[in-house]
Formats: sequence, structure tokens, C-alpha cells
Amino acid sequence: MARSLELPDYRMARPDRLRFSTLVYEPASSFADVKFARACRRLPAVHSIASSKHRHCPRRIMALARFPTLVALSVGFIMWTGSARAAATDWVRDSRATARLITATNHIAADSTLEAGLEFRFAKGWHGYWRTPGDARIPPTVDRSASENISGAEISWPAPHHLVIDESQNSVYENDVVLPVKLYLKQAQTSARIKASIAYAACSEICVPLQAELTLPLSTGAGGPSAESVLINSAQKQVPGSPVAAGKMRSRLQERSRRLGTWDGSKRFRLRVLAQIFNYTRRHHRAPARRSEILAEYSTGDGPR
Amino acid sequence: MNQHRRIVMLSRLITTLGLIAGLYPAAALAAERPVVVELYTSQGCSSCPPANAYLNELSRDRRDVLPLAFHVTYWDRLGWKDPYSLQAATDRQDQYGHRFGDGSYTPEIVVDGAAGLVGSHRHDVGSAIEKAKRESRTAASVSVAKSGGGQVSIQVGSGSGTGKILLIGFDHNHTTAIGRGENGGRTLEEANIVRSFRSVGQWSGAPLQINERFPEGQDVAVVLEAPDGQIIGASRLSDGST
Repeated sequence: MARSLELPDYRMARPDRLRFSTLVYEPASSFADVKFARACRRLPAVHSIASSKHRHCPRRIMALARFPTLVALSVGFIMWTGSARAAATDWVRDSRATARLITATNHIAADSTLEAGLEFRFAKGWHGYWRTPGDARIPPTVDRSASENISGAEISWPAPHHLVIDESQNSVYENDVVLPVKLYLKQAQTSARIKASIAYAACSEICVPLQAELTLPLSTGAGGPSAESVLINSAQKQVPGSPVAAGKMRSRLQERSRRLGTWDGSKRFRLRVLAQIFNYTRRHHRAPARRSEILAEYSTGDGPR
Repeated sequence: MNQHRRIVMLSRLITTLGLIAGLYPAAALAAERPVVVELYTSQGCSSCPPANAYLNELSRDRRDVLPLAFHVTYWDRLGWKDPYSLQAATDRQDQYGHRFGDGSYTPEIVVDGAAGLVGSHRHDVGSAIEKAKRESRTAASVSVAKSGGGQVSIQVGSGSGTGKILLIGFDHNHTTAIGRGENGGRTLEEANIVRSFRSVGQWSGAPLQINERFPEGQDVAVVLEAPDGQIIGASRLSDGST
């Protein structure tokens, strides 16, 4: 699978500050990662590798990349605390991972489908699994057979993070994730009762089996969006088009650029860029997967001074 | 890496010292039972391979330890079906979970039925094994031997206390291809996989001999378990034959 090793735009850099750079972004195959790459460019593009600053670049980028998600979550949380809780079950608490069920509308209206979501929050250091059969792994399973007025359910899987555990590739969820679920109603404009029995895993250096029984009764009424709909919409945007598309974003591309020679005041400078794809482990150990060295020539005329 | 090497060296040193010590009062120590190390694991568990590797090493290198890998069933329904998973393993771990108050998880190592530890924490497990060797209760001698007609003969000596006699069948080694997709070609090496597990009788102090059909599995272990769940006697078939 060809991964692009295209360079970010260095023209924003002030050449007198340009000594050595470390930039990290993921191949842009999901909503979050597009932001990731763009956010990177918004930052001063280069940092001295000799300073501790370069370490902040990836983290700051990640924070920015997650910003829309954070906003969505915060908005959702604020709206949720201020409104009736018809569109969400209580959290089923666990110190490692909590879970709840949310719906995009407070009531059942004329539609024959209902957008819902399973929301998981993993504690720091813990993760859950994507649907991938990429290895012998443990994705959540849902039994909704005890529901009333529900004839079917389709779960979507937002693009996962990538984690190398004991040299094997894992597609995981960390922090907060919403799995969008499309529910098919037997009858529109008829009240429903969603009963979901969820089995899932929370893993760190151990894997713990967890179980959550989630029940959400929904009456008929206006079909306007619920406070939680923003969470579901945001998660739906992160669902890759196909498993293959999701499979592309398994590694991070890291670049190290070195200016050749010293800056002499002329309008052009040359960079030697070592671009490497790394597979990252949870503890940020990395294993090089592919590397490529590029000699690039840049003009300073285009960037801000 | 360094730390790992140090641990390996340390464990080799301990093994060597153990062997030297073992040669000296040979008669006294020969009768000592192995420390029972139960690993609760699953092929579907991403956190388990380091613990499996540790158990494999124990199986290969240590005769003073009886390592047994119990493959639990609770991950089967979520994805990978572990071909060696046993409901009896899940049930047994559940009992430990209630006793230790830590629930079920993988990988967990239980040493002599007395302590539940994270299976990949070699140092902790190693210390627990040494502690068990120093302090473990041994209520009676246990031995098991092959007898004719596909049977095993179990003998428990006299002693004080009561206990349940558990007959365990296990396979020495299996290699399973677990990788799919990006991890294609990956295999998992597992040792001492428990294939069957059942209670075959009650011991209450008096010497006892039981004949049972050879259980499912290549090798056989017998464990004497006190009512409080602690192991108070253990032996394996291969001990008798060597």
C-alpha cells in the first residue's frame, strides 16, 4: 500500500530558525488525520531538535487535531447536563472503561430508522478494540435481541488508533469513542425500548472482560436532534469509507529535516529530509517501517519573516 | 533490555544455586512437591503473549514448578475462538477472582492457589514462587503413575487436613497460527496447555489410592487442594517416569 511521503509546507518557516525539525502526522485517511496534517502546518514548522521543544510538536498537533472532537464532546456534555436525559442511558461505571447508550433524537418520529451510539470512555492507559479481525483480538459485541420495536442494528466503527503490542498490530480505541449504531424500527411513530447487552474488553497490561446492560425507552414525539446527536454526528464523520481505507492509517510518518550548511542570507536553502514511517506502541516506542530520504530546495521569499 | 538480562541472569543464578542446594540434601528435597503455577490466558488476549512466554520458560527450565496454562472462554464470544479454551478454566478462575477479590482477567498467574498476580510481572511471580517454596503447606505426598488399560493410578499419602483431588490433563506444546491480515504468519507457542480438569475424589488424612481413566491430554498432573483453595500437594506423571 503506497503511503504518501509528501512533505508539509516548509515555506512558513523562518530560515534563521531552521536547524532541524521533527514533524509527525498520520496519513490523511480519516477526518481526524486531515486535521492532524493541517494543524501541523499552522504551527511554526520547525523546532530545534537540540531543544526539548521538538517533543511538543506532535503532542500539540494531536491536541489540535482532536480539537473538533473535544468541542463536540464539550458541547454535548454542556447540553446534556442542561437537558432532559431522554436520549442517553446512565453511564455503566467501571474504573477502566465506562459505557452508555445515546440516541440522536429524544423521541421516535416518522423515520423508520433511529441513529444511536454506544459511547465508551477508557481510563488513561486502557484501550478497547476495533472490529478488525486483523489479529486474535476482542471487539465489543452487542446483543439487542431483548429490545422492543427494533428489528435490526448496524454498528459503524470510527477509525481506530494503531498500537503495536508485543510486535503485533492492533487497531484500538483509547480515551472517548462513540460507535454509531443505526437502529431499524419495526414500526415508525411507535414507542421503542432499546435493550443492549454489551460485552467488551478493556486492556492495558491485562485484559478485563466487561459487561454493560443498557436500557433506553423512547416515546413518540418530535424528531428534532437531541443533545447527544452532536456526538453521534461527529463519530459518523470518523467512520472510514471501507476497512481498507481504515487500514491505511496504521502508522505515523515522521520527518527529520536538516538544513545543509548555514543560512547565508541568500534567498534559497536546501533541506535534507529523512521521512520515516514508524509503527508506534502505546508507550511511544517505535519501530521503523519504511524510510526515504529527500533533498529539497526551498525559497524563503514566500514565507512570513 | 538490561533489566531483562539482569532478571534472566538472576533467575539463572537462582536456578543454579537451587540445583547445587538440591544436590546436597538430595533425599530431603527430592520428595518436595512442585509449586503449582496456574496461568489464566487466552489466544484472543493481546496482553497475554509475554505471560505465555514466561510460562513456556518455566515449563522448559524449572522442575520445581508445575506450570499449567488454563485457557479461559470469556474472550471466545468477542472474536477469536481459542481452540484450547475450557469452561472449567473460566469457572476455576472465577472462584479465585471471588477469593482474591480482583475478578477475572487475563493474563493472571495464581501461585499455589495463594496469590493472584499479573501474568507478565515476572519479578512478582518469581518472588511468589520462591515464597511458596519456603512457606507452602504440603499436607501429604502425592504421586501419579500410568497403570494398564488407559488408566492412571493416583496415590495420596497420610497427613493432616482435608483436600480435593484434582486430575488435570495437559499438552506439552502447541503452535497456533493466530495472525490474520496485517499480522499474517504470526504464531503463538504455548506450553503445558490444560486440556481437561476434574475433581476425582476427596482426601481426609488417610492414605488413598484412586484409579482413573487417563484424562484428555498428553501428560497428567494431580493437585491436592485444601478447602480454602490453597494447594497442599501436587505431582505430575513425568516426574514419576524420570
